[in-house]
Amino acid sequence: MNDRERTRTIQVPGGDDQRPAANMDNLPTQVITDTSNLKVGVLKVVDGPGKGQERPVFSGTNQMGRSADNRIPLDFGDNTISRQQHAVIAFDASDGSFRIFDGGKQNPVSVNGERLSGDRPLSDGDTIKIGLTTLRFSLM
Amino acid sequence: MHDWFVYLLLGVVCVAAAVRLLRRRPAMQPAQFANEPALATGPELDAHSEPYTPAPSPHQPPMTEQASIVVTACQDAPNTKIMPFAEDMPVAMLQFEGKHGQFPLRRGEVVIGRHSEDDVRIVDVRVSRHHARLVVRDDGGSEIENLTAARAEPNMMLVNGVSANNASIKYGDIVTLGGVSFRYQQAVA
Repeated sequence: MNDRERTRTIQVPGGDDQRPAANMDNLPTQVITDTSNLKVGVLKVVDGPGKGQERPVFSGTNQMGRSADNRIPLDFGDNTISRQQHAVIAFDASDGSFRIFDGGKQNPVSVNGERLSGDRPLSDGDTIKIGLTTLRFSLM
Repeated sequence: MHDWFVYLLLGVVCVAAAVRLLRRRPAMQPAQFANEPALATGPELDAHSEPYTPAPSPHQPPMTEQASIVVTACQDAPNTKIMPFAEDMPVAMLQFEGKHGQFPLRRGEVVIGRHSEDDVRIVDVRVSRHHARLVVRDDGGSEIENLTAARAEPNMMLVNGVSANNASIKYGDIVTLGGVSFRYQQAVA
């Protein structure tokens, strides 16, 4: 995966502006430990260059980006996904809920066709569009 | 024959005028801050010492390029500690990889972390809120402390790849907080 390649901006209605990242002050830090290595969900690529691939979602905080060092690496050649922290999925073990946070990057993120601004809850069966890639989220 | 003599005369007058002009021009004087402590930013700052010329004496018109940066206060209060560039001059520089870019430190003590109230904010979920405290010493080095060390789930701090909770760092050292690294560098004007 070419990490030096710049992220390409795509034309999305109301997109390609620099949006402020979601407020992540209350989000726990992504520290990878034994307890946080529990797989709690899965993302399946349903459209885009990585179609058919799957990525696990872990307990705790999950950074999504094009670089391989993200906890959810979207490293299948879609250069419209930012390298680091294009979005973040957080699993709260206390109530079993998921939330998705916008990383404020070049290209917007949408959930079920609705543009993400800040953060919102994520539930089983939701589709996430990030760059030119569409992912379907399901519980483990 | 006559023309030749006029040209010679003109030439002599021109040279004399140029010499006069050069002698009137005040020589650049080095800063006279013998009582001042060494700059926190280290020896390389000597390259910038020329702006701190003493206030010009009345019969010498100030050179235009110095006018805006002359330090005059030290003449009235010789014991006052004046740090040249105190307002604008960063005390050190944090050089991050990629888009995080450079972060000039304008204060001697900063908290680095992900929280919106942190002095140096790294918006990356691998970095903890209030992750580390960095205190710049007079010699340009720094003390860095991992503020997460005492928490229930400490987050890592590496100095040149080695785990540490308290460390002295010098220019060129690389500090990693969570998964984000920066190089501690001397500030440049």
